[in-house]
Amino acid sequence: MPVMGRTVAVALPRNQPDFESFFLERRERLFGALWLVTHDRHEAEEIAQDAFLKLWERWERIGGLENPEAYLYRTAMNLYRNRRRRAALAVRRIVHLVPADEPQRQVDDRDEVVRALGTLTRAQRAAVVLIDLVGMSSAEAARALGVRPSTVRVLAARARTSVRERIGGSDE
Amino acid sequence: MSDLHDLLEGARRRAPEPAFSLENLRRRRSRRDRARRAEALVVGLAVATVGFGVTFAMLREPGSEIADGTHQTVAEETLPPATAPALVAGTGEFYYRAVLLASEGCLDAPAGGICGATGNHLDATFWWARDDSGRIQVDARDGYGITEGRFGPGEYPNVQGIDASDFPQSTTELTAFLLERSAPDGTSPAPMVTPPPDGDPNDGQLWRAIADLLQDEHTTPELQAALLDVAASLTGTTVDLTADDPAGRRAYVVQMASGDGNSIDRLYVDPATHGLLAYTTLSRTSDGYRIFLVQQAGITDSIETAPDPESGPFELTLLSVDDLTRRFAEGEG
Repeated sequence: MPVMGRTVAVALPRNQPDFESFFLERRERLFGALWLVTHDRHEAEEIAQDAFLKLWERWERIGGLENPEAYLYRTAMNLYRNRRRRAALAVRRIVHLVPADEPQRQVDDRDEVVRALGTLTRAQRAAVVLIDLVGMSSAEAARALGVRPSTVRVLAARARTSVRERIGGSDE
Repeated sequence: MSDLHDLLEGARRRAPEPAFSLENLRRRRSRRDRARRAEALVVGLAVATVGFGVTFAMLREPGSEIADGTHQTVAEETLPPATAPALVAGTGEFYYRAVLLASEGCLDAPAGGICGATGNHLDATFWWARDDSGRIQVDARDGYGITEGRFGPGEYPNVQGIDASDFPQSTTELTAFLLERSAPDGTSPAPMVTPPPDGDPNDGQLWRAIADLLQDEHTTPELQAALLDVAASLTGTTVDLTADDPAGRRAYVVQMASGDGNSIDRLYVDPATHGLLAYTTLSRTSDGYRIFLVQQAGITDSIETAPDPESGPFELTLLSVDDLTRRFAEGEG
């Protein structure tokens, strides 16, 4: 029950997980999802690190949320939408400060799903990964991507169709 | 094709080992902290230099307001000046605001009585341009009526009839303008409300008008800052400079209690830009409350995108309605 007459302060929840454990448990999963979305190892690593850092700086508050992992993915997708970051990475790549993404290309050749994802637009990849891999609802994915839920559903549906055509079969 | 989730999971496992560790993250955080400290030092020095220059110039000028003694005394508890300019959208750009609204129970607030059913909430995003075009996207709502859609020039819903270009920016002129506008025969009459303790009836009327305007997307960040300065100057308000907003962001709080003391209104102000972070009303006699939280604000060049989180006037928060109400109750309890 609210107590009146004093400024809102956020209480530290009990049983809050420590950030280090959270980081170690989610690092590979987040990076893997971002790797599929960005199709770029270096961009995925940059985004993952910045997303973890943002949560770490606010861990007293975020660690107590019901689902801090959802917050992590939403933060990462906000960073992914940052066009300045992509532009900076592109410039660094042009001047050879960042190597080309050879490991991913090798995997692309072997994995038909990765290869099929590579034919999608960035928005389609993000939508299908958030909904079909991470397990977000279309409303959650829409918020993370800054678009309408109906738009996310369309993007994900097109992505599924395209992947299905590429690898031959049905996901129904 | 088998289950897409399994296929994507398999593809994810083919990702290379991430080349960053907790130690990398520590170093990155340390670098960022150092950069922020350096930036704060530069901004602080710049503000101090400008402040010293302005004071020096006013003291030297014989006809200045301070020198001739006619300038109004600044209240001891008022908002310190903003340290960063408010965002201004150019032609073809949109003011963006993602908000959460949650309310419960009945309130006899200084901003007028309101009553809502249990668990009323709204999770919405607004894009608005000066030509009154834009978009309203609703992700969740219960008990709140709102027009959703995309709007061409002149079509954006404007319930309060706000034309931001009409509003003066100086505190004195804006106060007079708001009084006239919110009077019973004004453009947008504010309901009669109980004045705060020691306050003039005008203060209650102004507080109500300001609270309504601050939640309207036609109120530009510049106008928000001016309105919050007026709110802080009203009789009966108190200012807390060491608070957090309901999302945990650093905030100044401008607070006003209703005349009968049954409820309390708080406006949470971004210290840097004086933009609105949140507006809350709490009942002192029941569990009733109302929270309006700005999750993200900024400017976009399209109604299909959100602003770059790093470019916003203040820290982005991504709370759900459940998170917000739970944290609010925990913080108050």
